[in-house]
Amino acid sequence: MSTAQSAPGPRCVETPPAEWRGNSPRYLVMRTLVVAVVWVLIVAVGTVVALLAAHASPRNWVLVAFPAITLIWGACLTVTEPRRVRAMGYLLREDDVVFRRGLWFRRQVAVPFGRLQLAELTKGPLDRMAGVSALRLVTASAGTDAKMPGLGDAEAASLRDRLIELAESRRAGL
Amino acid sequence: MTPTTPAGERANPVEAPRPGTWTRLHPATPLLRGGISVLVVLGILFNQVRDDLVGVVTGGGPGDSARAWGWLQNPVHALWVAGSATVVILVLLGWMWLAWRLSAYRTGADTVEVRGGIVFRTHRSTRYDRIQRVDLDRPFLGRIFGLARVVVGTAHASGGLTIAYLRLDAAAALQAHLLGLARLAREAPAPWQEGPAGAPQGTAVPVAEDRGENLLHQPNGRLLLGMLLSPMGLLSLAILAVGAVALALGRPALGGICLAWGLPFLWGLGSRFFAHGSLELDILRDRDHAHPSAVGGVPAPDGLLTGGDSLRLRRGVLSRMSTTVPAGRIHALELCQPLLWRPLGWWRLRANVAGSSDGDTARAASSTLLAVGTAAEASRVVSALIPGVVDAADPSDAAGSGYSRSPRRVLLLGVVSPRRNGCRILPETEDGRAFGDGSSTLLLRRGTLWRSLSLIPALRVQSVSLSSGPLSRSMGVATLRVQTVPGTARTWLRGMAQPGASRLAHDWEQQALASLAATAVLRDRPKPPADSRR
Repeated sequence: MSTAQSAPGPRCVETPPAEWRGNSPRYLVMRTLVVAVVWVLIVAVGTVVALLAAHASPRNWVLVAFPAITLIWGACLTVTEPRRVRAMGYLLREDDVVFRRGLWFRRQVAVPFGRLQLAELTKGPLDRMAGVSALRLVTASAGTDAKMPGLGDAEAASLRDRLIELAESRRAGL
Repeated sequence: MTPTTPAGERANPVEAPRPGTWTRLHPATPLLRGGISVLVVLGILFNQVRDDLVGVVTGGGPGDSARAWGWLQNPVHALWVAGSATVVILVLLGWMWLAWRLSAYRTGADTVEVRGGIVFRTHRSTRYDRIQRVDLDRPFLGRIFGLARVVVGTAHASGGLTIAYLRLDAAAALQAHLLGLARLAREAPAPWQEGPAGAPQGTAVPVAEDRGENLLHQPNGRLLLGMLLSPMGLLSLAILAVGAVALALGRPALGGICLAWGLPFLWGLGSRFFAHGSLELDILRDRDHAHPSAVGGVPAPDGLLTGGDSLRLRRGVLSRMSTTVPAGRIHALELCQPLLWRPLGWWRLRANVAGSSDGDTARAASSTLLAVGTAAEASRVVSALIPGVVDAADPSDAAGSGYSRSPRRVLLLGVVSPRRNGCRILPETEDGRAFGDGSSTLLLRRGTLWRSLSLIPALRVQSVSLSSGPLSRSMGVATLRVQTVPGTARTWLRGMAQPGASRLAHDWEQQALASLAATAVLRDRPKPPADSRR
């Protein structure tokens, strides 16, 4: 684990990393598996195409470079996926909630409770298998884009209720 | 179809609209709302098929006008032609008369209603307490006849209704009447509901007088020049010039292509000019609305943004459109200046307005508060909305003292103006930090060639985010984004030096929280009914 890569994302919050809450370990496994499977499929298709092309004409052996590059790229992504998942996190503070995500392209967004219009839970088929939900917060701005995938079902529901409750107590309209 | 036709229902126009009774619109309404276009279309159609028609009727070849004339000499034939023309005109007139008879409006106990349509009947109603704005529009055709329409707007774009057309004075009276009813309904919903089902008695109906406080009145010459000096204007002028030269040199093909390309540009420019011209900007003071600073006990900026006042834009060279923007819906402003405007010192002022994205193009233009304005005009409007800020941060000030600026290295990121790229929170204390009360404004400056200054009051901030990619992180910079309602004013700044950017984002969010706390206190004071105004 040792996520403590001290608060990934630009630090607009001076907080000990320990206070950040992350997503479910099941989600980590699921995401890693999904990425691995997707890239294996891509590499497999690429290899088949390259081999067929090479079979047609020996000069086409160059095309094997593409599945090779894809293999390396996919391996990199698969290996870093757990870190990327662990880089996602949220932090409930007194008056706002902060979301962070991203390993290479980091983003951190702070949403005051009073601006919350609604909190949305979604579960895809894979999410249901892993027993996790994605939480998304909506404000009057389309650009807020505050979401936290892969929360354990119970945690997601209780977080949503808590956020709604906080938003209700501090509502300030637009 | 003159206004002298049966005036029974309209004996007393709208000077004192009788509550609960249906009032007819102006008799010329069907003509203006589509009748003219029907006539034009019929005329064009007739023109197209005239020759064939003549040929068919007279039995000769198409276009044989001498023969047609001879055919017409026969009185029976002439009678036929005259009779059928009369029938067509009568049917049209009858249709219009029916349309006029069937459309009406009324101001009921707590709604304003409009009905209309012949085949497909429509009936719309809007509750007074949902009315956000009541505008008076004078489209070009209506203006010729001295008519106007009243547009009632609600928070949701499709919730309003249009009452078209009325005589100008009647429309103005209705507008004032509706504004008064809307205010009454907003302020005292309870007695309104409890009262007898009938509408309030005539004398009790408040008439909101026009409390417009003129902010500025723009001449059209500057607008035209400013538009021609903008990139789009220069482009179209250049294309047209090339076309003209080519034509003069006897190259018709090139000239034709250039003209064909340039004219649509010019058309767009012209329609923008006609839409934005003759701008009058007023402040509508809502004096009864308590100022938040007075209620919450929190020193808030004394600008329009915090009160219940609105900004009214009336513009249009031919069609006069009036748009009322409640100042509280303005979430961000941006002043920008194309290169060629700099010697003239002109600015464009755009705003992010909540609930303005309603597909109605005439109203969507409300996001441009000033199409072309002098520095003085721009600062007058901005100061009315957010006082004190523009004076402290002159947008044309090249030095940008007081701003935390980007490091030179961000040139590599494509930020071409590190010297100007900067941000600042105003008003600030001596040590350069923001006040802790949430009354401040974030200023974002950018652009060497195209200068721009965004102003974002903490009052309306939805969220704050900071992001960085690998390259920008290696340079120690980040992008700050402040989320407001969507609009044309930019609310982000790239290439901010890192420790500073984090601190600023943090400070700024604290400001947003502080102002949120202030308004939340305000919100809790008058108990539930305040919920009805969003």
